Amino acid sequence: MAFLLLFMVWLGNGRYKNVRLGGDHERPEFTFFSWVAMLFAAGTGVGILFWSVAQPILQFQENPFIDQGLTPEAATIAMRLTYFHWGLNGWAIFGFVGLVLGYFAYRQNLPLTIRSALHPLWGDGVRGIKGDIVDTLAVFGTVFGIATTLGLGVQQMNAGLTQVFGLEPSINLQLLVVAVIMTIAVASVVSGVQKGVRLLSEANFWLSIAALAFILFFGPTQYLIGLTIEATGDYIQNLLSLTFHTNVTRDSSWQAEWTVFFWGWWLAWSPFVGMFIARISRGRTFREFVLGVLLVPTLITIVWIGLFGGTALYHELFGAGGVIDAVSVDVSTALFATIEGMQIGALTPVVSTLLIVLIGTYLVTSANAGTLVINTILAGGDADPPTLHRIIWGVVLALLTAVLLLAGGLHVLQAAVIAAAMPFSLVVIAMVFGLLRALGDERFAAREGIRSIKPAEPWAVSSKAEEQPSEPAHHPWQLSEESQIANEATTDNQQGNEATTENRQGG
Amino acid sequence: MFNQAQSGPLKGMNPRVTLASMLVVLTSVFLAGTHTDTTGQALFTLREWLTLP
Repeated sequence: MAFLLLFMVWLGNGRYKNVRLGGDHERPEFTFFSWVAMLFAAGTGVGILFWSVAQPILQFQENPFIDQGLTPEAATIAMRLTYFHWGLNGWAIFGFVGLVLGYFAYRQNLPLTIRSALHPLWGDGVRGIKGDIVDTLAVFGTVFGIATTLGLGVQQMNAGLTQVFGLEPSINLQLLVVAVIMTIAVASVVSGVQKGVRLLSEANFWLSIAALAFILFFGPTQYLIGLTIEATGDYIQNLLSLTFHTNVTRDSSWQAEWTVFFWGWWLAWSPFVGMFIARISRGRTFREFVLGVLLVPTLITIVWIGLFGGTALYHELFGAGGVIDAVSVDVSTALFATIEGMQIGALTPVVSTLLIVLIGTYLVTSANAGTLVINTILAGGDADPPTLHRIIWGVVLALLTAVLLLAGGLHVLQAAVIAAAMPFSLVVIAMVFGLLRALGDERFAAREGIRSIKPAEPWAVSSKAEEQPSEPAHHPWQLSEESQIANEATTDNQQGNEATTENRQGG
Repeated sequence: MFNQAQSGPLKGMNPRVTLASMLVVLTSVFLAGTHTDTTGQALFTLREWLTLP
């Protein structure tokens, strides 16, 4: 994870920062605002709704970095650790997979699937068994990652329904919720009402904003702002040491219970979110991509956890408490116990109901998009897989979620996602080498913000470039004639430009 | 696209990956559904093994 974060920073700032996820002539498909809004959608979801309160509260009581829990200092450290598990390191995983998928799909014109990243290593071997194994591992991780998230969301909805409507928490209720969520998700595929799913996604966005605004203004506003700022600084200051922390000097299983689980979860979700990020980022440079994907969702999660987790911590430190007691009985009740602790009277059931709706809509959109991504990989990179298979995989996801809940709930879900992510982590390592090999051919990539140009002097072209006359036109040294003329004109007008000189010399 | 079937029930899909994935996941569903206790224990054991410091 430490390597991936540093690797992403290098990709965004190193010699390839101006390489585009697309041809050199391409411009971003979406406006900056739309792109950021969609990254916001990617950055929020069921997971953060579940853990934004539960994790700070659990870390607040005990973690390897404090001598005594339940103190104001423990609160700051609890936030720091939560930010760590939800921040830059996690988004480096998503970002890396997204960048690699986007690079090979839009710049190298390969199908939008995981095995494409290994094309530079295996050549046409990616079409064979080896490639099939890679895609199968990606599907395996994705299915378990989504099933885990569905399981957590369903447990949380169950807790909300218990609080608002007094329904007895039970496995049967959870299975019923799974059935309803997956029926809606599958029905939207069958009926082709993708517009409905888009509306749900927009509803998620506005409901999330409303939830944040509500917590900010009805909660302990000053404390929340102060804690968020303080914990952010604390997180930034400790990012490197946490990234390289191994827990080997402390006699506890904290690292295995928390960090390994979260890294496994991020890995399991990376084909899913990575594919989404890749699809919305066509035409962006590595630099824009890395900055946007690392910073925008991280900022959102910092604010989200700061407000929700901070409110729960405030109740425990200065209020009537109650969240710790609720979490010790059932972790999935954390969010609703926090809302109850805000003592907002008649508004409590209203807000809780809205949060239940929010969790439900997130589950539906996640299940819907998840089946699309799974089937895109299964279809060899086809972004529009057959509807029948999307339905089948929707049912399979529902079954898997149900049996994981039956097998033991939260702890089994956590164990399942780690087991599923382990093999895919090997694929991610191979993807690093695949990308590096492919980037070796980007030696004419622009260094200073101008687009790549064809070397003007024949002797500037290395023998390797000359040996590849049939390379597709999107390679920098094979721009269309119009582009070349335009570039040469630009170059003439930029005599003395360092970047031009570097490019002419072959980087 | 990689290895899409041109006809049959798996038309538009990669048959090998689709069948392999379905086999793995349905086996997991079956084992977890019929041996819930064992599955839970097996996953815990696997997790402990994978997360050894």
